[in-house]
Amino acid sequence: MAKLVLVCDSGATDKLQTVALVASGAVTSDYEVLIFFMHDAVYALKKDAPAEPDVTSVFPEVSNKINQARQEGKLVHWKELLEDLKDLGELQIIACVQITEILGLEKDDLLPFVDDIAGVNTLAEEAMNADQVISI
Amino acid sequence: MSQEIKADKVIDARGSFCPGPLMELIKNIKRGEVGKIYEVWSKDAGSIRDIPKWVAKAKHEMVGIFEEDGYTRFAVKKMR
Repeated sequence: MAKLVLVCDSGATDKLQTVALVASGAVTSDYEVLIFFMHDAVYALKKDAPAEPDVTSVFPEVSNKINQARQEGKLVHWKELLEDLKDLGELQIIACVQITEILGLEKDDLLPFVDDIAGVNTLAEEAMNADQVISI
Repeated sequence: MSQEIKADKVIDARGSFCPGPLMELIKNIKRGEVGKIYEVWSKDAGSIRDIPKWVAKAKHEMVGIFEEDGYTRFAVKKMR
């Protein structure tokens, strides 16, 4: 099974939504996927993360329409998508240890679909052994 | 293909953008019974490529694809 590593260091809703979307394409195509969350993206994985900001775009029409679709429930939320993907295929989700330590977070503070907290050596090793790496 | 296929379950995902319809189909098939037919309704333009591709890869059977007024019905038989 080919493997894809995704790296996300942004807590912006559109980035997180994109990560989940790309992961969905890969998992449903039967690829193994590992997502490494860093920086703000780790904060977004907190169980008690504050209310999610709206999608922002340089084009007001894009943000307006995406946020409208989100409010109407026409877009699967990134958290729901990742949770579903865990059930459907090979998806591993890792949070960067540097940020969890800075923020004083334990694994139990993060959403249940987070598999592990690990350092960048793990990322390097996973990336070198993957077939493709995409940073979002 | 006949339009008279009797689905065991209809999944109306017309209100959902990509990848909603495919995800709903996969979830239902995964939890469903072998031999049953699942029909997903989609307005998402990507479904016409993504759903048959997934069905072939997952080794289920694409029973039919029916164009309706503003949406498409995909009938899939769970094979394994």
